[in-house]
Amino acid sequence: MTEQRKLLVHVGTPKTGTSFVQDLLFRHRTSLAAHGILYPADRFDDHFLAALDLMELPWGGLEKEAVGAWDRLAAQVRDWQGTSIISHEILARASRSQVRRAFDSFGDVEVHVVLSARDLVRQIPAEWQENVKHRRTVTYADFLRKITDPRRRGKLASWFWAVQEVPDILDRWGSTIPPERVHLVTVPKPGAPRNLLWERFAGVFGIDPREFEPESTRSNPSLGVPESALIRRINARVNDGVLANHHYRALVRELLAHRTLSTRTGSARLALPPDVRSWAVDLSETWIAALAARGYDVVGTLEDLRPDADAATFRDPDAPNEKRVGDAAVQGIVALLSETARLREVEDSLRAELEQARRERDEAWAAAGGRLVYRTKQRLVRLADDSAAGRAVHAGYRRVRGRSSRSA
Amino acid sequence: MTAPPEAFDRAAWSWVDHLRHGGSTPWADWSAPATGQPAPPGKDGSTLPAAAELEVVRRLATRPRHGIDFPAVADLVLRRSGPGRGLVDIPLAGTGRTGTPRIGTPPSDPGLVPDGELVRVAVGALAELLIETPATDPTDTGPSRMTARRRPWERGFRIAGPPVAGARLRASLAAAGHVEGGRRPRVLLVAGAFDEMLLQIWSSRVQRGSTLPWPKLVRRLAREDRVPLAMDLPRLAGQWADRVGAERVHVIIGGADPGVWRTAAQIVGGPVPPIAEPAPGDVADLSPRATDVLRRVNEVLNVRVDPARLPAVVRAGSAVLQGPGPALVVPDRQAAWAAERSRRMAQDLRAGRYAVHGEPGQVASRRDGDPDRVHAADVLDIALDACLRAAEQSAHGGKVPRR
Repeated sequence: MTEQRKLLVHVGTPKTGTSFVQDLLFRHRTSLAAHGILYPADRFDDHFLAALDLMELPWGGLEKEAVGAWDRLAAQVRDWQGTSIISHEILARASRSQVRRAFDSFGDVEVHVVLSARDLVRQIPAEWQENVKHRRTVTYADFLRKITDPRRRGKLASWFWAVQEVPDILDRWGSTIPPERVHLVTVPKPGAPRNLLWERFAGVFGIDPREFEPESTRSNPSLGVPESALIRRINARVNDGVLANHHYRALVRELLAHRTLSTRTGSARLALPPDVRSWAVDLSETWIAALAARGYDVVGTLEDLRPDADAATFRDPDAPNEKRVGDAAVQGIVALLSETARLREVEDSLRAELEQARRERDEAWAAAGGRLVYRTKQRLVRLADDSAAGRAVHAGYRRVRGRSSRSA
Repeated sequence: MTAPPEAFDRAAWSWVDHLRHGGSTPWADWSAPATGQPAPPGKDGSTLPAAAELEVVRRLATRPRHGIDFPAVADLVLRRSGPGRGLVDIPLAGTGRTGTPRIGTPPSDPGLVPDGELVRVAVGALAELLIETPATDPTDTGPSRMTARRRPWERGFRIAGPPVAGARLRASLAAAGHVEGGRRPRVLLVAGAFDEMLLQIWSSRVQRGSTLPWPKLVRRLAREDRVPLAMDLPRLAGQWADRVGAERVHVIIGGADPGVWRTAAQIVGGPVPPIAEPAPGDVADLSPRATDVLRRVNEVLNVRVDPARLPAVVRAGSAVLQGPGPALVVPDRQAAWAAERSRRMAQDLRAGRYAVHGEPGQVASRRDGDPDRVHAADVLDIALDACLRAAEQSAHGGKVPRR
């Protein structure tokens, strides 16, 4: 008897531990397969590319690698006799027709939708920071003004709501399946046991959380106020062709933001100004009431989506402490210098290897009769230069051959 | 008085049916029939097509169309959503509509949906039509330049410089029997005003799959204070002079002016050629608005079409987008750069050791009140027309019908 084929499609939201879950599933995909759980990916970003394909999303040129990616992913899910998992947070943005296309592509596999969610007061600053780490130069004030405008016009606001509005995402993804197949994983409040979020995910995925302990180094670490301000200023200087997207990803996002600036301690954390916070708290209550009425499988508690009563002190990243920005900049310069030095050493080593290869080629050429050819050419040149016609032919030859022709 | 949800559903679904069959009554003017409409498949209005998609179908219905299966085109628009970033599934506004206030994209009368959202839908539909249409290579139609033979006694020539003007001249000379090529050819560079030449560069790049918007291209070039080689006439003419001799290089200034053709005929020898459109397969003469539509279509094609097939699909896109349109100039912020850069270009042309036909000052950046950016409403018009042309093309087995 074949096992019930089941798919858990984890569609977001961003900044809720998605990177760490995806990293864990990717690293353990072989062991998971032995347990009957398929995480169908040959490279870490396979599900991201599939999402770009499904939603026809341009993404700084990466979309060119995504042609046909969704259909390939869906085919693997259909062919697997067990549980499959798809996970990417940008899937939260899918429209109803795109969700329909996704469901159609899974054939008769039983689909479950998983959405991880965190309280809105923490999500808003995190989304601004994510924008900054994706080359945007929008100020915090402008970002907040855009997302609090009820019309949601423009790319920034429409994207924010598309990937963060938990009840609407679940309406788009979950309205055609029974509510018990919609799993809402809530992110624990700060101070909760370190593994609690993983245990919640593992419970939904049908994985023993003790067998696959998270030891992930891949996460999406957050920046403080001065560090975010620094990256935003850098963006203003490197956009418009100064730094190509792939260099930006490697140098600014990975090296500078993730590996360097996110390690700084003591910086003020991003928070909401009081008026926006009050608006977000009020909206959260609307969401919690709507979600409670839908009968979804809540993994955790809806209380996790209720913002804490104690407001963090608001420090404006548009007017940061300049000394702290300067400190962060110096640390960033040091990191970039170290990387430059490392790359110069790689370059020197490659040059040496190339030079060695050239020498070996020349020696092999000489040993194989190069000298004989050279002596013959010398004789022919001497003969040609003895007559006017010969000189003309020789001159013509050299013109055609170009200046790289060796003089005999 | 508040209408019950069933009344909203009945009105909405009957309007969808009206639109699918080519009706164009706006939602605000729609009166639901009292009875007889099919029950909606969803438990509320949520499974209705979204407002932007419905408005695009309505606007398609208001345009002239020839020999297409309109319900099929409408279904194609309604079964998909706009690509890229923008509002998700804008609900149809109406009295009696159900749903939780403050959750989800705010409902809208389709007639009030922003043009930018309609453009996304129209561009997505156009891309889908191009993808679904069996590709026919436009270079297969008409007499091919490849089959024409150069006569040995003819003067050889090469056309270089701004790509669209070059393609137009190439087609005209080909129509008069002159085939590009030959040993030590005379080189013809057709120059126009700075902004016009830059538009040609943008258009030709978009026709090769670029997705770069006009303002962004100009901003980059201005920041680096450079222009692409194809419009850097002094540098290009100098390079050709080094290769074939300065006496064989001719810069003809005049853009699309008939005088260009007369000058070209004198240089190449023979009668003045007829003015012709660029040959199929060469760079097409797209208006700036059409170029912007194609740029947006490319964003979809890049993620949907295999790279091997992509050039043919993009060419099919240019074929349904051809037509005249108003010019565009360099954005205001870069106007000073364009003026200075074109002034230097004119100066360098005057100092060149090659022949310059016409007044070099005509390459100056000109701002005759033309817009400096493409507006969504204009793009929408072009995209909707192109959708219907692509549907006609599909109905004619992939060939663009002539009108």
